[in-house]
Amino acid sequence: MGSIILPYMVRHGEQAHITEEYVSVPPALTITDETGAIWTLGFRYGVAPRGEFAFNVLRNGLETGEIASRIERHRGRTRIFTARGWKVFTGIVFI
Amino acid sequence: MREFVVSDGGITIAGATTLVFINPIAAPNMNLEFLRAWVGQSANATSAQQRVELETQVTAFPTLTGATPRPLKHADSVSVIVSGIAGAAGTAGTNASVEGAGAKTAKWEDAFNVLNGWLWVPTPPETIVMPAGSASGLGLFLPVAPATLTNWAFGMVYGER
Repeated sequence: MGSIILPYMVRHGEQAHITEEYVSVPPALTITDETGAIWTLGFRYGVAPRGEFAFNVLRNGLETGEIASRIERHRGRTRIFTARGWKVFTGIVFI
Repeated sequence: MREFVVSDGGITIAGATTLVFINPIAAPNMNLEFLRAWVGQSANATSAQQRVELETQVTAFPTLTGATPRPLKHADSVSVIVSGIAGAAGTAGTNASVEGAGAKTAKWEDAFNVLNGWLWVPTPPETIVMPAGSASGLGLFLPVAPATLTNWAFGMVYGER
């Protein structure tokens, strides 16, 4: 699929909550982290972990350069499940 | 395959509402394979559970706000589905004002926390295919009214094949 940015992919107004631990996209639509950033999956297919779909990872509607099948809150951080396993967001990049 | 999105955002809904309704075109023509659906809201910071359904509906269809499907690949030509307010064959619309008397049949039922929204991304054997000439359309439906009716965002993605 191609790429398109929709309103739900970006924050609207002041930050109102931080997403709870172990909430996962999908089936959740978005994750809100401690900085107020909105995480979700885009529409562009990529290399998938076995047996799963994977899409581009968006932060506030912008490309992170990562492809993942899931985004999850875990131990106060945002992590993604990619074809190379779990990666954790450091605040700058995924490692 | 060409993919199209029908979506809306910042919407005030009436209650238990069909958010998106897409009705396949008369045969022979493209079948519609539904690849994604989502619902979210940005008005309420209170945790609450909300039911959601993907359901088929036969005539009488909902009365909707017309919505033109947009191609996800910007250079693609237009969809065989066009904007329509009556839910008729070959049309798409959002945010029903009248649900229509036609029977709804749930294809997929779920519930989500309104803080997190809901994203349905089926793996290939689980995609929903609505063939051209089908007597029913596919709707994204909130079967119970949410606590807050404002600032909802929702949509569906389908491929033509």
